[in-house]
Amino acid sequence: MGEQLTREMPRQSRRYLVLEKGERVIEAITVAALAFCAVYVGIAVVGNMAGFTPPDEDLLVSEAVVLVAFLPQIVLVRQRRQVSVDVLVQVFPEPLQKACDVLAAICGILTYALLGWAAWVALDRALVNGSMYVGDLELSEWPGRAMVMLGTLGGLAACVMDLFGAPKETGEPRP
Amino acid sequence: MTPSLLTGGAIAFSMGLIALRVPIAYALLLGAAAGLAALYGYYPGEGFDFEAASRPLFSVLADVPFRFVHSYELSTIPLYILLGTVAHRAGITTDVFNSMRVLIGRMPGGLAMACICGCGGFSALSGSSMACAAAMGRISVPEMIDHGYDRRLATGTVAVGGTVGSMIPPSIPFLLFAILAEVSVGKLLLAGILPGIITLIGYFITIQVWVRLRPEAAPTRADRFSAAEKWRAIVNLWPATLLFAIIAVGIFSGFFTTIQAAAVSCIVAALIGVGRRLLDAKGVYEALKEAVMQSSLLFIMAFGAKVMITLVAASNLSGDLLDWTASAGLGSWQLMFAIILILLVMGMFLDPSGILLLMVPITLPLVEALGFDLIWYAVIFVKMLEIGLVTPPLGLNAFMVKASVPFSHDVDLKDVFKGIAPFLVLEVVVVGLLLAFPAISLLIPNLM
Repeated sequence: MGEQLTREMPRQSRRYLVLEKGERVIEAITVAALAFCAVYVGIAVVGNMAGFTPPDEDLLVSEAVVLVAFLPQIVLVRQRRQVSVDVLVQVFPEPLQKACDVLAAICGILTYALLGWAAWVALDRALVNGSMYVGDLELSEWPGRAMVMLGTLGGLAACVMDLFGAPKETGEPRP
Repeated sequence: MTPSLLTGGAIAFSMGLIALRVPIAYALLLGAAAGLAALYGYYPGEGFDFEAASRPLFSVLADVPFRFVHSYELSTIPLYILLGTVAHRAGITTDVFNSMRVLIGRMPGGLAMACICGCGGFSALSGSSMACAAAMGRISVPEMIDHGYDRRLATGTVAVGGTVGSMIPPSIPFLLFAILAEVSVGKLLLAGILPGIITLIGYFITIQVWVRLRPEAAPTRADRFSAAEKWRAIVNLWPATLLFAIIAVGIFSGFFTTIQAAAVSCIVAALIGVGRRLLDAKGVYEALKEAVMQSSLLFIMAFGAKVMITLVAASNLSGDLLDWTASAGLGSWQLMFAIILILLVMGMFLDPSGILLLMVPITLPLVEALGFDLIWYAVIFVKMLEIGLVTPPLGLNAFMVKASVPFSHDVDLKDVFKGIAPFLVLEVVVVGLLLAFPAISLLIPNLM
């Protein structure tokens, strides 16, 4: 029944559902990363009192912060959470305001493209050199770098959708 | 064209984009990237060399944002934001107002003073004075109006009350400043305590002067509470007191690092919420989600600021500005007053974190070169940001209060600003004290 419904949905609605699911997965991963930060540091505090030190506390927490910082970019852009100042633009006529929105989307594309390209160069370097962090767990550098690239790609995709028309909501209430 | 002029052009370009409603994060990063490209790739008379520009530019873009985020110290920011979202859902942020209302509500102007305490506690824990203005505007303004308080006093206290929170640990503006300026996070968090207390006392005095000059502004007919209710109100203050103690006493005594204090206070706040049955697994998830979004938003803005700091450092803009001020006969204090004025004006239009990320890269090297203490400067900086939030014509907190007050108790924006005015006079006095006596800001950090 559900499959049949999905088949009958317009393509745009299906794309919207895929996006929604993707965003929820990103939310879950980043929520887990932040919860990990709090719990792991908490364990380290208790551990210090009990005489044991959890391995690579600073490194693992830093890696988790990378996830928290970069991965939700697609959600931020799609939910239009970026901070902007509209004191001047709100006195502009409607067409000029629309032009400003287009400018903002273009600036977003440029920003994420620059960051993404730089992230790709850094990821490539980390993979080629086999860079690792000094520590008990001998963590590789590339997963963190890959998260930066994924996050900026997400932001880029969201800005492109913003500029060229994102899939519209299905009209059904969100679960 | 000199490197300093190029950097000035890059900053102007960023400001222009921001004026055209381009998000601050994009505007800062694009301006800084354009400045770096011009700095390394533009040769007067020869034109632009893309190859020469791209290598250092991509090196900066690949490493500066990543190294900034990939830091153990930086994890304090999402953790303290998480504390705010958890404490809010656990009802801890509104406890202070409810308790103070019972304890001092019957004093002349007591509800207004309870509101100031509540706002201070709320915004200190939630990390946002605007969120505080919105939430407390809904709760306390109708209550004060129902008790016969003048609308100006009722709305003015809520609008200014939230600004105290940015001085009391854990203050997100202080955390951001410390990480951008690379000064001790712990010292900076504690530096705001005395200025915060002075501001709080100043607000109380302002309310008392107001109600003594115009007794009709705050009639003493608040509800009467029994001794048992008062005792319960004192007991109900324990969650906020405990969280403050974990952070301030924990850091000051060296028992916790700033990150440990953040993590432990988050866990304790969540446990309190669960214990009170105000927080379940879904609530914790939602609090985490909100904290993730706020943190990510802050970080993407901070990347631009960090790249801008790199550009300012590479171009020697601060050195040239110092030479310029010396040749113009401006002293270090005149320059400091100019910065304060700029911060005040920007505060009327922009949110505090935006101004912080815009202005720290530009002013920090200058202030450092002039020999001012960076911790003292951070206190002045954050104080000015918060004053900007309540200064007409565009004080954002005033709009927030106006928007949040229920329709049944509707207030005029003019009344909100009139209510803020006496507190602004007090703020001038407090800033004067902070400028004249740096020890107010430096006493506690120097004891560490």
